[in-house]
Amino acid sequence: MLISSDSDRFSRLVVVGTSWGGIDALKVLLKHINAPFTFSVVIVIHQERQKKSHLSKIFAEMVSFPVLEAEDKQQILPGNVYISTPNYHLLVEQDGTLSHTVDRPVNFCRPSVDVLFQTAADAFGKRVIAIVLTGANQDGANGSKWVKQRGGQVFVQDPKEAEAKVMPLATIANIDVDLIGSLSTLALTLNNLGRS
Amino acid sequence: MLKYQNDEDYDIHALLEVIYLKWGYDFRGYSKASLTRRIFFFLQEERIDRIPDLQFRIVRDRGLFSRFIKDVTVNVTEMFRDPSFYRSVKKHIVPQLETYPHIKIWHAGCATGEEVYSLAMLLDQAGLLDRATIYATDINRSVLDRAKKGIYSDSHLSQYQQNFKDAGLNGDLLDYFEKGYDHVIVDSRLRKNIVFTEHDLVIDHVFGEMQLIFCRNVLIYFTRELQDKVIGLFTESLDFGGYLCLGIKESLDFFDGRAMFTAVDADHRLFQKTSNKGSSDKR
Repeated sequence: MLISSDSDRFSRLVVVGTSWGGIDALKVLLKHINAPFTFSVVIVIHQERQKKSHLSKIFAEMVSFPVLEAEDKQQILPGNVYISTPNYHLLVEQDGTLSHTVDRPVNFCRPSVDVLFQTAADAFGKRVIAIVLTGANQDGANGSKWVKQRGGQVFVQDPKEAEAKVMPLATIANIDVDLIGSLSTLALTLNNLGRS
Repeated sequence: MLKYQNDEDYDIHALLEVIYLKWGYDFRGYSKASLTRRIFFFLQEERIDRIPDLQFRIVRDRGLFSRFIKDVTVNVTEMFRDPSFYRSVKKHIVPQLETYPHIKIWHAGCATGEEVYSLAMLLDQAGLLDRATIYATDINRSVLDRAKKGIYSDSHLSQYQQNFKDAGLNGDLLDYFEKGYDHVIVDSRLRKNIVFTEHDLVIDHVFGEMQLIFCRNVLIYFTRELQDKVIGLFTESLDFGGYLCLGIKESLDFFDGRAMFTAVDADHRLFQKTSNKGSSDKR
């Protein structure tokens, strides 16, 4: 095990999936999160595949906590936010590190939200909170079910507020979600967790 | 303290041990999250209910084991994956390769060969193909057979043609192919200097004195410890001044001997071996 002490450990692992409209939604969500916090956030966002992503830099300039593009075998640290790279799946390992693959797309997506959610749930069970934001396909619905089966919680952006409703609605149809709310409500809920 | 989160993880641990003992293939240093996913897909494919059942059968059934290797190792690739990477190779590495009378290249983990032929096209346009030998290796014999044949479905052709242009090559990708009804065949001229051969990065040894090693999107499947070991293998296989090219999510940051390398283009993960000191002697 690579983990040296419990203080390096996140309290909860918050995994976020989004697609169409995701950049704007993430800007709002991240701006409403109060630093410092004890959880970690790992985000999969569908992006055009060949382009180099500058999202982590864009987000990092808006907030006072670290927003990083996920690196392979990087330790997930509390208080940090990690973002996927286009054309690579992003996975959570049991030792609390991130890993990447170029395995086939899932739901036509690479990175796939389902892959992130499932591996996070396998590794960290009831410590996982999955959040499904705006998106125009159903990626994330199966992964959310997996999160629930492993004892975690699932939050969904209110479809009325989402730029694209398909992704939130697919998750709501698939499972009993723990919370449906606006971006600021989701952030507030995380802030309450982050103090513990 | 429990080592694993889930009971399945104990089953997988036992399965990998048994496969190593029986067949000599060592998956124990592979990253667990993705390996687990692929093993569960394999169970579905084979209509096997539980991992212990797979473990029982894989000891006794060579055919099942062959299919396991075929499905569980990753074989996803494409022509000129990351076109800007190839532009960088052309700009930074080709001028150095021109100074050698004969060029030895190792493409480790070549899967079905798309990137091997991409490199061959690039060398061809630089006038270097005739004095190059490319050793293209993979752990998986069935994908090597496909790579050797050089026959590809035309379903991704338009994307590959775009990649070819974006990679900065002249003419059209189809100049290097013979077109069939729903497939394309790589021109035999590209194939004549490529040697396809089985090689397992985990258990096999150093491979010649290479001027260039390509190993892209293979290390991400390994734990950090195994990555270290395999990069050590590459380091020993590289000529002084030789180049190591990795995938864009792969780096030498955690490698003990990273001081032996200079990043030629850090963004595109192009490294040159510029020192013989600082090698790890752990292997």
